Amino acid sequence: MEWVNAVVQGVLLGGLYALLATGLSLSFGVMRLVNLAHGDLGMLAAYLSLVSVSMVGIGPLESLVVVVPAVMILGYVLQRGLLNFTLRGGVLPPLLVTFGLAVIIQNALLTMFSADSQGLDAGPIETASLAITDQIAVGWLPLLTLAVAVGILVALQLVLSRTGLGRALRAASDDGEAARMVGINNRHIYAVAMAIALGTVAIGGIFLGIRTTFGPADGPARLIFAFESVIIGGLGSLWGTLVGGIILGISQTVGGQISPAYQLLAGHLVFLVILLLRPTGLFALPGAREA
Amino acid sequence: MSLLEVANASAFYGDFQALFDLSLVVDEGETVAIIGANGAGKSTLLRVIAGLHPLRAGMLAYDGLPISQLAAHRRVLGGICLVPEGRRIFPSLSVDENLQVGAHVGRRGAWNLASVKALFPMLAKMARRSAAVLSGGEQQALAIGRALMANPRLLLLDEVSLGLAPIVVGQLYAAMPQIRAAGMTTLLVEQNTNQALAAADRVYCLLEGRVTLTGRPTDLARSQITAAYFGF
Repeated sequence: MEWVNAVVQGVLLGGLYALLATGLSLSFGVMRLVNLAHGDLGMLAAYLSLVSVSMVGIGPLESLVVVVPAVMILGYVLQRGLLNFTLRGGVLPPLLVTFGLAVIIQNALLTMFSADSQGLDAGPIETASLAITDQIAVGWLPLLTLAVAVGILVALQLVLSRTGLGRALRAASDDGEAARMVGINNRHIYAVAMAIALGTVAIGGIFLGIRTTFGPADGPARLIFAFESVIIGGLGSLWGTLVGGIILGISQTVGGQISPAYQLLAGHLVFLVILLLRPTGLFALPGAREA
Repeated sequence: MSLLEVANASAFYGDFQALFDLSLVVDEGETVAIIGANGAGKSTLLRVIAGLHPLRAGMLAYDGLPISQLAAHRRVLGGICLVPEGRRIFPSLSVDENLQVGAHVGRRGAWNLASVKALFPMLAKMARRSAAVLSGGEQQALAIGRALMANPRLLLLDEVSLGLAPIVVGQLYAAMPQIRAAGMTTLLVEQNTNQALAAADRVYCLLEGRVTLTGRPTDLARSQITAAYFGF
């Protein structure tokens, strides 16, 4: 029963990883941009939530209404004003620029909030749980996190497959220059994609901040889990990202069940095994370009 | 007044000059063909007009207004649409979606999903299929249809016949009268000289980035064209 419990908790943890990874998958899928500051932008959102909690007195979940739009605007401006200019020179310039951005965000957070661990207090929902059997109970917060992750993925999938914006995003992803030929303003479309990407990681960052404590330098560690989720699932596949997050989550909780010391190691090992067996990930789209 | 006027245009790829002081006009409603050998600068000229390649020197006017500083997507909004060399359809989109994305800028006009499919019946049968599985001819029809969906005023066609069987080329060019019927102005690039001469009101022959001959197909002798084409 303990093992079943570990798997159940792993699935729920996977929801959080999927939230953190979706934006990474989207920005890679649309712009071929690997955003090394993705994790730090999630942490920035957690700190913004902390600020709005202490200043306005709302709960962290309510702060989503303020923080997510703010981070989305930041994403639009960041892409339009900075990252678009890095896309012309191949894969290296975006890596360097976003790496620099990560360092800047970490140090800005350190200066403003000190190195102390912080936590977001969402009240009773943090510890409330739903008993499924005598031995298995699922927390409402992880359940909510997973539900939000699935909801976001469904919404994103619908936008991509059913709307003009989605068509434009996919067209720009297929062939940026051909997209300009049909009148798509790539710079705007990329900025919209980054706004959506950062909106999702803002939600992920806040849920993470409610779940555990966080510090200014936590971004890169979160980025690794997000990367692993994306790679396991297959680059550019949104549902793959959810499955990747869940596989990573289960690996970690089952590993932790064997011995707490194995929790992170098990996740990384499963990731490496999948990378070895299926380098393109489990759900790589046919014809998806190699990274 | 000409719909499109290119005056003394020069364009470069790095240090390599592709267009030399090139001038060309296209009047409203005309079909003008640009012929010339590989590397003559035909595609570059179309890319410059579409805003995909920078003009180093010279002037580019559309409908009387200078457009050389205008971004490519804004030129589409103004009605300049390019059917690019190599078709460049969107492989992850279905046939219908490729056509719908062609209407992204929302220009009004006679062309829509129904009329484009009536023009190219082969696309109607494939509506929901991925554009990646189409044959070369179907992809070319889709690329032309995608451009028509924007209801262009100036249609730029780059090497429609490239890599296609003669019978397929014939089918595609059979659509030209219908495209012209609504008064569409067309500037087309062709390596297939006979096809170009048959379709066009006027031709320009390019050689190494310069215009070597221009005139109406009926006024030009074979020997003149051959000389201008090869530079003999």
